[in-house]
Amino acid sequence: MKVIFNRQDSTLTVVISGNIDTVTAPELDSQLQENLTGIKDLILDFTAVDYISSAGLRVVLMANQQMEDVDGNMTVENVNEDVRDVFEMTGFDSLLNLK
Amino acid sequence: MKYLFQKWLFLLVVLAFLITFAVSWHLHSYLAELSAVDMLESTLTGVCRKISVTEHNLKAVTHISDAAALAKTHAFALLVASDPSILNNDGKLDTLRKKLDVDELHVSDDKGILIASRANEAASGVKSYRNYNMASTAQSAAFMPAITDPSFELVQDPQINGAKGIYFQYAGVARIDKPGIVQIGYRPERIIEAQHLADIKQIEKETRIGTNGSLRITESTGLPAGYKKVFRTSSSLLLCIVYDKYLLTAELPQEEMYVSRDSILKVLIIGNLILFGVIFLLVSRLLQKVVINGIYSVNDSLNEITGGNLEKKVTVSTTTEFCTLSNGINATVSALKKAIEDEAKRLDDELETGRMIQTSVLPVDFKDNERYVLHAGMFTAREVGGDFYDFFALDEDNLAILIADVSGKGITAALYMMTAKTLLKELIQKYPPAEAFDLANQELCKNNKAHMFLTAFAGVINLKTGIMTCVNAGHNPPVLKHADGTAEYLRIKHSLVLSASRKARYTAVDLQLKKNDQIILYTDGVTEAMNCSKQLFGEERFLKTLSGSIVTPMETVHLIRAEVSEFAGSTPQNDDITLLVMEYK
Repeated sequence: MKVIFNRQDSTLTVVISGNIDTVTAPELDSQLQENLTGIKDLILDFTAVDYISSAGLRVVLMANQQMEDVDGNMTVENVNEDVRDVFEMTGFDSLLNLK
Repeated sequence: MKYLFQKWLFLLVVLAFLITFAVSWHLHSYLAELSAVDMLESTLTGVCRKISVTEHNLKAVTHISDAAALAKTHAFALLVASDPSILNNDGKLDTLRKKLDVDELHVSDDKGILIASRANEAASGVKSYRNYNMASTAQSAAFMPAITDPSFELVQDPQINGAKGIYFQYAGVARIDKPGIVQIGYRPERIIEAQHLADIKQIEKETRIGTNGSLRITESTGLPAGYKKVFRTSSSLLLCIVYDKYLLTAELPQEEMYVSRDSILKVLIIGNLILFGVIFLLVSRLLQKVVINGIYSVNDSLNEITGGNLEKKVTVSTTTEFCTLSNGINATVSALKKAIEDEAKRLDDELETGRMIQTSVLPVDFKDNERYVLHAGMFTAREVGGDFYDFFALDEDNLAILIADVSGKGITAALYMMTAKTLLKELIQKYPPAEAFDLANQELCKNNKAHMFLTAFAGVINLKTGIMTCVNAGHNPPVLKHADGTAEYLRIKHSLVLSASRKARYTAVDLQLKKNDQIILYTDGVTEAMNCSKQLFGEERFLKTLSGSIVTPMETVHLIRAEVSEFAGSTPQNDDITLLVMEYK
């Protein structure tokens, strides 16, 4: 998994590539935590995410709640079909702002 | 890296060599100068003695010669007094001059005019100075007091005679019979010889200092007696001392002064080069053998140990120190190994505890019932997860079945699973499934700092009518297998996983079961089982596994387990596999 952060004012775009599984999820979590301060708009670019496990969902859920806590927005963009299936199965599609 | 030590040793040896060389250089330079000063001093002492002796000789010779001259003058004056007529007899005077062994005889009157004068023509250039006025030159005027003073006597210092340019000396006394001057003149050969001997220029020339050194004797203008000083110029060493009225300066060229030092240093350099070379080789060899090889051997062993081989022993025993080091390392590694084993055991114990929590709360009472057959199983991965299943009768006609998967692993997941299981059972017993999930979600969302969540599927089956009211909170879709062997996923509306958001609402869906329909609940440990090529078992393969011949729920559970195991091969199981199969009769 690779993560690239791109910050403009209070908007943070996070481009993630690879699998978000039990092994890589804690790393994504800690990197997100380091960068979330002062962010109002969080965009997770999932173009290159092939797979997400429940540990990955937990990171996404946590980020979503943090943005809700500061009245911000979180968008998950360019979700591929496999990952969308996971989001739909777990009902995350109703919770998250998917684009 | 391996020759680092030798590099340092070489540098140190070179440094020691340079220091030794510098110290020797300075020491020998100092000694050479010291002995050169000594040599110059003794030479100058010799010169002083020589000057002293020759000056003493000169004085003695002068004294004797002056006395003899005065005696001759007095004798001549007595002869004139006894017989004044000889003054008019040149022949007698010449004979007398020869007898007295002098070159000139002169007698003046009371005015200082020579009335008688005879000279050796060979020496003086003239035969007579008759009528010469003694008062006419300063040299001869010195004798004028003799005219008035009868006790007058004078011997002049030798001086150059104008006519011939040779040294001449005059002695004079008062005339006895009447006022006048009686004078003799002669060549002071012995005095000249003695003066020549006493000439300091001669001493300068004759004195040897080393091979190319030199001595200079000059007037000591203004320097105090006993003055002595050493000077160093870029090319020579100088010693100056004051003796009597002279300044003696002895000079020795530096190359001469350092001749012995240079030859000693040449020998020292060659000797030291050999000595330090041997020391370097010996120390290098010895340390290589005794220390360096040992260190590399210890390092190799340590690398192997840090590489994970805790069985490796360090066996360097070349010296007592290495024995101690080896034993120390071995003891540390043993202690480390024991600590790791203890920790592994502790972890295993913790895993075991987690697993016990997990399994102890799962019902295993699969009693056959006339209206349904049920079997369930959980096949745990090494690390304990948060899967669970449950089934319980709500009343005589209603049976609840439940499967759930808590996100995360370990004790936390196991404990969370306990809470969730208790809560869900309690609520499902009291409320319809959708409402029970709503309430459970609200409850679980409270105090969920760890952001845990769980996927869950619950179904309540009316055993009379075969209607199953089911609700799915983000869980894998269950499989419905019909009596004819066909199987399908129950893709009812998926609500959000439990404990993710307070806003989530859950809706139930009713399904009509037919006789001998099997409902198969499972967790993602099945569909996400992985083989060595990183392929997932997947929903499609799962459905294929289930399709076909009719088997009992227990057989289905074992079949699924076997199929997943075969697919995964040697790839370790990453997640719990939990299954619940119910057949409606």
